Amino acid sequence: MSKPLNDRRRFLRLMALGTAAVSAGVLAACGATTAEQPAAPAEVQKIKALMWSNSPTLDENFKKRADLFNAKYKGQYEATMELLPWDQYWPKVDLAYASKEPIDVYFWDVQAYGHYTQGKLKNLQDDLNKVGDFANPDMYPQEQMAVWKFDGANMYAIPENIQTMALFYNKKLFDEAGVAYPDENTTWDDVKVIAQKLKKGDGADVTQWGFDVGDLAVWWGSISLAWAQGGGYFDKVVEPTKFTFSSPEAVNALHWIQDIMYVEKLAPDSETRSVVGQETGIFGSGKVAMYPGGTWMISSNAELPFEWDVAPMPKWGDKRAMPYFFGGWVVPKDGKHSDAATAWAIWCATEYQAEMANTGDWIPIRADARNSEAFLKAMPAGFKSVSDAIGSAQIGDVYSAKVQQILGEVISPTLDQVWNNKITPEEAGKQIDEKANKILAGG
Amino acid sequence: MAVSTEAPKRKQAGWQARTEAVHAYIFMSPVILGLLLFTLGPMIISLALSFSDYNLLNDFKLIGIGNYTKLLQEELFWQSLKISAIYSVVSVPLGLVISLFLAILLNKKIRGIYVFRSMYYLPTVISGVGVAMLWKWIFNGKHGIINNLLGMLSIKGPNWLLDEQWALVALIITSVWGVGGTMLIFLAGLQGIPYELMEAAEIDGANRWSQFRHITLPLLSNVTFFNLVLGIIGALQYFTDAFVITGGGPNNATLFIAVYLWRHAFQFLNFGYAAAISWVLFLIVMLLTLLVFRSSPLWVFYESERKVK
Repeated sequence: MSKPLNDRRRFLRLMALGTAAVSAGVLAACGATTAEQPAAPAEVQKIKALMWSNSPTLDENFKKRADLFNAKYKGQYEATMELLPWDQYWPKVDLAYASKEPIDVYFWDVQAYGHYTQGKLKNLQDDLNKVGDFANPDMYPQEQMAVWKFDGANMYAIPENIQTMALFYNKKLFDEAGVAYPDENTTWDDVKVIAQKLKKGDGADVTQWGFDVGDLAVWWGSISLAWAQGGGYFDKVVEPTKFTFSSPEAVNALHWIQDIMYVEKLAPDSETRSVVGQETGIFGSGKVAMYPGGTWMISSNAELPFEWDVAPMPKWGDKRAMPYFFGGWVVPKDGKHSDAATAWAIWCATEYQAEMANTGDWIPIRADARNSEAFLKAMPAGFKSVSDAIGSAQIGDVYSAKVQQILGEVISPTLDQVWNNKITPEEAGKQIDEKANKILAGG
Repeated sequence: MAVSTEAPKRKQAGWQARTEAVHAYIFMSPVILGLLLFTLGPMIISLALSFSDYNLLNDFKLIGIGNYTKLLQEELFWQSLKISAIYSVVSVPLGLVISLFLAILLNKKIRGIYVFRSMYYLPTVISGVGVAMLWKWIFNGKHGIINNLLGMLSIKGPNWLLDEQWALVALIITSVWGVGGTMLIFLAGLQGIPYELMEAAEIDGANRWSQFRHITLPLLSNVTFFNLVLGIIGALQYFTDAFVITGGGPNNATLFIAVYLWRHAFQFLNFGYAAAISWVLFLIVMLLTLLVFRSSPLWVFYESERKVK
């Protein structure tokens, strides 16, 4: 006679076996490596290009860029564009290195300098030497690009776009107040005079601000004011040996920003900035007449429901200074498909430049694309004067293995105290120099 | 002829015992394997990492106790320890008192009490990050609801999240939001106290406070002990609100040790150093937990102990 199904021991045995099977399956799934994919045709090198997500339009154009690349190199290379949120971007790149399977080609930011110092990046100089006009100063800004020659001779990243800062202004608010728009002759002193004319209301009842500190609240923004006086925040860009936030020029720069919020009260203070226009940005709220910001915001601001334009960063006295930044690609030294990855990076910096100009997403590195009619048409009217000023800009980065720690633990929290009006710029400069130089010295 | 059945019986019993043991181990295997793979394994690896300068990009290289000596010399490490200690010392007792108070209120037999119980427990199940974002608004110095309410009473509220002296206070206040879980455990404890004891005390002339002091509190001591241990562990591992609301600022005034650890691990990629921080944190949590366990005979009352005596 067969045993009944509800026999206790039999039931327990079945359950136990089931449990073991499930846990073994789970563990096997966790530990299993990806099943072997059918081998791709030998001649096609498939690569992944990684970038952080910016906006739906920009992200979509990155994907279209991959399609164009794939069409051009059909049968030879095939790129897949992957876009990640910023906070996941560098962990992904670093974990890929840790697992010895680096991302084939990824977008540059200062974190990649750490990859260079660890010897992870490919020296791209030989590949660039083969590109016809890459060494032509009329096409590619040689002086600015030299900063990416970390060893003094070779490029370890290929720039594809160049960004800077500009003074964004709301034309509608200027028109309503009958005030002339800012231009290439505007000074930082003028900015305060103009802001006063555009501010509406007082005390807790301000309904319109003449100015917002915008990206001046970040070190690479505020440094413009120190540069314009002939100073700066550190002695050199690559592996600085000394921070100089307590220099008179740096302190003046910080004072200008703190004062416009808390002394002249022409710009919203930190508390107000943190809650106004959380969805659109404070300029997008339409309640701010001017703000200094990165030119990468041009494409995003295009969707704002009011007329706006850009002017070059104002002058300090008779001198203008502003940062520039490169967007570009780095290729790991030990990548599986180094040829395809390098081809992608070079193609983005050369052939794709015309299309980049058409989209208006980024400012092309190549002069003919940057100055093309198509690109200037996609830009606001004042952009040409901003672009012309790039020649005098300085790199808005600092490259050091310890820079992330110095920025995170020292510079950002101390500057926040200045922007919150809790300490004076003099105190901040002293504190930053003391702590940052200690970390630099290995303390 | 009488045949002895003892030996086969013993043999069968032994076989059954072995089979049951095998079944037991198979049933336990998911948990044991999970513990080995996802808890003990990473713990051993993190211990090894704490003696290295590993940063994801370099090769694993042992550097002895370098990370630990550096840790002791690091000003921000001591700052983070101080912040976590202040937070624990204030928020844990505060949470226990408020949750006990709420549990006593919710232990009444009144109409709709289940609705109130659900309401007070609800915050515990809402996403931590979402709630943290709300608190950020609530504490805004100019536009937040707290300062607006204080303004109605002609009190000028502080810049809660931007002021070094108030940011930690704000986070301690937010910790009260999550007392629902502790409250529920106290409530279960309260419902386990025999009503006859209260009745007898009342007949003996004890007032409400005496009943609470001499009956409720002692009989809840084992529950308080449980909540205290969980509270200490939770407070020392406090991360989400500080990360979302203040990010450790202003000027590191809310740099909890878990935030400090996160920064070094995932912002600066100092995995070796971060692992050393995590082991120091683990040792502190373990020592405090042991201390509470050792102190328990002095103040925790178990009914079983009374019976033995």
